[in-house]
Amino acid sequence: MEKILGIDLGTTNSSAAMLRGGRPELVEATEGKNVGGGKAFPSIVSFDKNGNTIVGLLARKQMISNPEGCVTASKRKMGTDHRYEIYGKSYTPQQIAAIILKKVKTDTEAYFGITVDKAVITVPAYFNDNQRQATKDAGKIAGLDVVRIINEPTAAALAYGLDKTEEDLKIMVFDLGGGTLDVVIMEMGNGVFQVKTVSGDTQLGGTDIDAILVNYIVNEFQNENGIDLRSDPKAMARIAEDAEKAKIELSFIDSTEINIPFIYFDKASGQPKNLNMSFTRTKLEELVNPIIERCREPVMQALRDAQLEPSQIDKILLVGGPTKMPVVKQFIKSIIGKDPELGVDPSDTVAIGAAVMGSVLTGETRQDIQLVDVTPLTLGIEVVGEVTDVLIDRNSIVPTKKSKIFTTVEDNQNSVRIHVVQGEQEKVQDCVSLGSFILPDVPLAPKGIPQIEVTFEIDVNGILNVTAKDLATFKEKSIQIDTSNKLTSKQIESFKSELE
Amino acid sequence: MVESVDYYEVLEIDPSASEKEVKDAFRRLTKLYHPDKHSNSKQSHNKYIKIVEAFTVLSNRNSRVQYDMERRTKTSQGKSSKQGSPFSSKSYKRDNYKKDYSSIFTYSSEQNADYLYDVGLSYLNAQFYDKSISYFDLAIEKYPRKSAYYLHKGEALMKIQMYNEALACFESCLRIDPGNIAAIKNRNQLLNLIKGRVY
Repeated sequence: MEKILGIDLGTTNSSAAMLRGGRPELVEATEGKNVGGGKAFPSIVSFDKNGNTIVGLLARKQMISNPEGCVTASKRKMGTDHRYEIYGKSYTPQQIAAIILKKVKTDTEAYFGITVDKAVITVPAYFNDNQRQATKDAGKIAGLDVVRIINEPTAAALAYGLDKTEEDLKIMVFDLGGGTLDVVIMEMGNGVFQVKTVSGDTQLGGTDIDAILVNYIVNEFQNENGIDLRSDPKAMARIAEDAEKAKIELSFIDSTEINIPFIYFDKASGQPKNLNMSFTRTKLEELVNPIIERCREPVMQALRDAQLEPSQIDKILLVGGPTKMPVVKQFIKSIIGKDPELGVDPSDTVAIGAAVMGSVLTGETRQDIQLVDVTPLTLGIEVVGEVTDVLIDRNSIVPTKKSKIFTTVEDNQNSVRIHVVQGEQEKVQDCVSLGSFILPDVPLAPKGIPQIEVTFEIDVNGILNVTAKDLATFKEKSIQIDTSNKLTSKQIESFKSELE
Repeated sequence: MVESVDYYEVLEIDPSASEKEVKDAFRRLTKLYHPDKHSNSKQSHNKYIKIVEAFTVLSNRNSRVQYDMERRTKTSQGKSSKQGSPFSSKSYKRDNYKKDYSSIFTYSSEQNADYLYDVGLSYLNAQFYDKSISYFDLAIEKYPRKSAYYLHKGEALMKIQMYNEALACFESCLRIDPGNIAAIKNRNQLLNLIKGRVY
């Protein structure tokens, strides 16, 4: 029976799961357990001067000895033009992600003893089209056919709701991961998992919490010792690692210490310096309060879009390592008025949900369930005045298809430019550009006469196809937005063979 | 181009169906026809899109009411067609129930302030005051020294009772063109209006 692997490709940690004996099972990384004892491995890639790569726990160890060769949080750059320059070679975020996915594939094959070609990969619900397509490309480079991209909070709800028989639950999934926040409101009933609204922040997560901590530690050290450790990458790497450990510990105890001996060699005095600092949970909560507060608006926006009062939410699911912090639990409880669900491990549910999705696609699962997702961001085209005209509203169910008629603004205008944008703002410059094309050979006519039908079609992956058709000549042109960004198939093929 | 679909038929429900019945119908059909269950074939994709469209309209109270009205009057009224007018509200699929009207342009050569102003005037005449103000603003942004832009923006603002903002526009107009009779008249009218108001 064909199997599809479910992969949680996280900003900080990645994991995978697949069905075995009808139940989803997490893959264990070949080098053993991660920091919190979970099955995920760090999404860290390190390179040596010859371009050889190490991924995961061992790469994390490289952060201290070889910080220039390490790449972390590459998910934050997915869908952008960013390049990582490492030892004279240039890498796209897709290539970094592909290296991580390659490890997932290898570990899975070792663990289950079968070859794996197909995968479902999860992305933040708030990822735009460019980011989704980059994720698919990363899979291709790693030798995986990505049959579906699903949203992380949806995957978590799938994992959670699998055995539930209660009717018509309204669930809010609060997914605060390493790099992104997603807030999703879903309705579950009759085996249908229907997403109602999506909101979030693609630049908000555990890594920001870590950054605040590291900043605080470095400033305190500077105040006491007059030395700015920011100039020393190795010292910064050690602080970052210990800060993360301390942060995690403070979810379970009230105070902890950070001790890093010989953090710095002070040439003036000829003495090595140590870093010793104690930390209370209270202090941590005070420092991260601005980050937590940034979570408020996405939550309120999701409720508003769903036209629901906080009290109408039946269940809250927390997903992502940072949600284990007591301050996060209190925060969400203060808005919704309920305690979040227990018994859901925030680190595992996404991979398990992805595995479930894979089994729905192969027909392997015996459950009669179906997922109905939405597109998280408004889609439109640019019209006169550099403003957007909406074709598809955010939170529209996918798959979907919408058309609108447009016309020319000048006499004898014989082509029109279709510029596709994604975002909530009215001005085009404030939105994300997904691509553009020209429909030529519009018959000469006074302005306002030609009829150009523009159609937007979104598939189940949330990927967009745009067509423009002249209704007089039936001449049409279309672009599939998945080729609008960055990597050509040639590039993908060449990256793929590099990895093999 | 587009067959006229009856959303109730698509969902296989009675036009008097309750909200719950609409929802249950959608779920039932989703489990049967979602592309995931049909290897994502093109046919299932197209069929399911219609189901989604029907559900989207019928599950929202406002859009359902509007749809029901249109459905009833469909046979008695022919399709209205304003050929060639830049403001034709023709859209073969009337999917957007939040705006009752949209008028859109796209073009590939440079715009200029006067063109934007023209568009704003057309909207003003068609009584779409918010849109007209947007276009007047765009014109002003491109070229802030034309008194006519401020004059008509002020008129539009008056129509939506934003009197203080309208007054500011007329003053701007008069700074550029002190003899503008329309602006003087409007300004005086406003001053009287504002004086008489209780804040």
